[in-house]
Amino acid sequence: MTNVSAPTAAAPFVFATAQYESGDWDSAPLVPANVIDAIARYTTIPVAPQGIIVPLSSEEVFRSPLLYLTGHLPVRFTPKESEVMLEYVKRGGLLFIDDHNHDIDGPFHKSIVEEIRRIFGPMVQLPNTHELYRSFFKFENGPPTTSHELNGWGDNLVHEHLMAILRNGRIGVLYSNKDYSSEWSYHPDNKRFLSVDNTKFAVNLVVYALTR
Amino acid sequence: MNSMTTRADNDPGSSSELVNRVQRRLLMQSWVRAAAFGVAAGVLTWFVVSLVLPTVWRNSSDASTVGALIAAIVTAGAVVWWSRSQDGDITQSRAALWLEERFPSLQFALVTLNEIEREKTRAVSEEARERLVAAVGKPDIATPLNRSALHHLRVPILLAVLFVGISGPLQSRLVRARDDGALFGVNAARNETANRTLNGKALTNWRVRVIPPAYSALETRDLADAGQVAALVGSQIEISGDDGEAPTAVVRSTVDSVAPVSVNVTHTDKGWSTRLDMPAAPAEALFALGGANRQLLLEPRADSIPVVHLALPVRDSVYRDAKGGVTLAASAHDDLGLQTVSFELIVTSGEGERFTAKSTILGAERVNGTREHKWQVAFSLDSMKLVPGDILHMRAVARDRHPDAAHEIGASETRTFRVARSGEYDSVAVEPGPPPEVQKSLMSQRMLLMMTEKLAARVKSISHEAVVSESRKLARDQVQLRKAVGNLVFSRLEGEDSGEHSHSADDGHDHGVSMEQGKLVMSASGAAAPMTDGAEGDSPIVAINKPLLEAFNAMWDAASALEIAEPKNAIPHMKLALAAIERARSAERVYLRGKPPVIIVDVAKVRLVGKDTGQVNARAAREALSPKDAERESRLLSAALLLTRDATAGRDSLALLRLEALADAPRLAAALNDALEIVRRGGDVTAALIRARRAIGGGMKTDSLTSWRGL
Repeated sequence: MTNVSAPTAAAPFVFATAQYESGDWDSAPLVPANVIDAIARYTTIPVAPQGIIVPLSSEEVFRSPLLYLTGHLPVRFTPKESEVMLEYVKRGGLLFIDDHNHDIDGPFHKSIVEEIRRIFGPMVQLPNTHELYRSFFKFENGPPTTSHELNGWGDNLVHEHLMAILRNGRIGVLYSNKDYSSEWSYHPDNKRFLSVDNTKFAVNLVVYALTR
Repeated sequence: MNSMTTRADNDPGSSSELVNRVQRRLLMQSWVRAAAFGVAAGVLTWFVVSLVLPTVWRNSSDASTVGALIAAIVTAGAVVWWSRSQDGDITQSRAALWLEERFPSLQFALVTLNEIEREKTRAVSEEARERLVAAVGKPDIATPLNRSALHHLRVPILLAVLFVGISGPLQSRLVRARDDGALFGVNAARNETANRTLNGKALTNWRVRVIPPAYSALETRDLADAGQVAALVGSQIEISGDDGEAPTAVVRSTVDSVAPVSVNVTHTDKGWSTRLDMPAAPAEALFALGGANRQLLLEPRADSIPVVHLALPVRDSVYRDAKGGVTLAASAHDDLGLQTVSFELIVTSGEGERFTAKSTILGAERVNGTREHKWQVAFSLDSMKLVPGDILHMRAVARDRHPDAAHEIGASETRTFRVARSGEYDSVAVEPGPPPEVQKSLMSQRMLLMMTEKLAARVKSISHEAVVSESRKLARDQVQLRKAVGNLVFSRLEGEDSGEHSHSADDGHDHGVSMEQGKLVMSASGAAAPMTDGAEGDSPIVAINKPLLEAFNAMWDAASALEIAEPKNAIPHMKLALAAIERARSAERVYLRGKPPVIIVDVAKVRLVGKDTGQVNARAAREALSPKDAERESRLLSAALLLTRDATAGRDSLALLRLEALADAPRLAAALNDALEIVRRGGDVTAALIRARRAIGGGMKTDSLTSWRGL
């Protein structure tokens, strides 16, 4: 007879930012607080009031169902970091990588795409009808456009799709060239000045990572 | 007894007949006198009532009926009162005495004889009777009767005739004067609430024709019995009616407190007519005729200026050299039609306080009434002969068909091209785009090491020039990173760096470190406490800065090796620098870009379950209305009440209020417009009036606000 332990109260969700050796991993320090605010605002998911920073080379990342990684500068992952990332996705984690340069000619994009291909293989285009865009809020047209795309900065492109590494029918690595790191990088207290909350897509990311 | 009776009966010309005749004449005289006084009092009453009642009675026919009734009652009362005001009934005895008074020679024979004949039981001898009859004789009673009638009837009849004669014309004059007073604003409030006091059918069915200005090319409109006209400013408004008499008319502004202007009304074969010019500000034309007055609200519609949009060039720019072609493109539209369009170019030159400007027109077109038009033109910047510092201003302009030369023209936003001066390239963004961040160009030490290793591995496979070029690039990046590390060391030693007083290695200050042969070393003062902590180990400050100093120095050596294209020799120094930075990180999270801010989200507050009650401050009492708004509110309420009694008068009052509100209270005017439309359709106007009331009070509640439904 197998002992089944009684269910315990759910541990709060902790937003984790990946700290990697190369580049500038903390280029968007206000994003975690803003995402936590959005989760608290729109969902009843237990959430920790403060995010954590986890070294990508440590096994601490395995405690986080969602891992946020961003930067401006060229990225080269160490063998340990690559190993942990691969294992993280294999275990069902969702690694969300966002290009803070929003520039396909930028050093972050070029290097991170190369690194993802090296570690996970080629990415595929995530269809805009994917359940990620319906996991909480509905985004009929796929990933929401950022103001930085519309302002014509960076590569002056509006990226229609996100890229992804799919594992067992779910997203393992989600790569964005839309610069949500800039879009969400403001103090959550200032959210009241926005007519439309632009962090709603972050709620979809968290809900997808926790439920799929 | 029988003989006496027979004698009296057989004497028709006797004293009794005489007394009877006098009695009848005196009675008739009394009645005529009372009637004359009654007529005079009735006419006076009708005169007063006919002036007063229309001011308080909305319906003119009812007012007339009530006035006539009151006059009749007063007349009857006066007749009764005057008839009873005599000393008593005019009896035969009083008639006899009246004659005795006029004929003293009778010596009361007539009175005695009258009494004997009335009291037939009294025994009087025949002889005595005959003497009395003889004494009475046959007096001439016509003269005293006529004299008495003239004496008693002349005043009342004169009064009656006088009142009847003068009350009609005087009443007409007073009514006209009252109307004129109302037209000229003497009693504007009364005029508003009773602005349509119809008297018979005067002013009830006029015709209004609107003739727009010729330049507008709009068609003439005929409006049947309109109370309000909205037309282009300058339009001719023709009003004509079928009344046999021409009304008086004035035009009064509803916005400005200027004196009303009298309007000339022409009497024609078919009635009357007049012509007005549509003023620039809302106004009302007031007409009065025979106690009836009516208003025509004049709502001017301004000729809007053309709306112009400059499509090309899209944005302002700064040029190094003013060369190449430029395309200007614009679009314009106007409510009545465009006349001409063009581009205006202005070149300003100079600097300081000396500027010159020259302008030119490009792409001028005559479009002859088209309401929308797009046009473009291309020109060469070379032809403008711009020199550094010059600014070229470009805008599109359009003029509509308004004939007044002073009528405002439509102009687009202005674009500018500036030719940069040679000395400002370092301080201005000559090319459009965001300035690059310095931090972005800093490459991490690890990245530099990896690239150097790659270069070292390729040294033999590429040319020496390529090795030198790439090695020097890496050297420059290494130098930049070294400077960043150096700045961090100095900020750690001296506190936060500020823009007003920055520190560097060779600024002469004692930072605790000194520069020796390009490298940093701990100085004697800097090595003293608290930088070092003896046998117990380094203090945190030293623990952080020592590795950074080591990294700084290793980077110096690495950069030197890379500068002379020896990447292989640079690698050990770079690894040393990387290891030193790693040690610094292990002591405390040191990152070259600074420490990220710590934000702790108050989850309970975000979810509205925290200690914040969510209650806002207590509501403040609504501010009192301004005198102007209070007056409008009062008038709105009066008009609302008036709607229940006289819809036409209420509608006119609302229309007048709306016209006045057009200038300074557009929300009120819009709400009143809705109310008027509902009144015209015959619907329930309550909601519209409530909106109007809120608009007066400045209420912010709108019907479009949806109820709260959560997420």
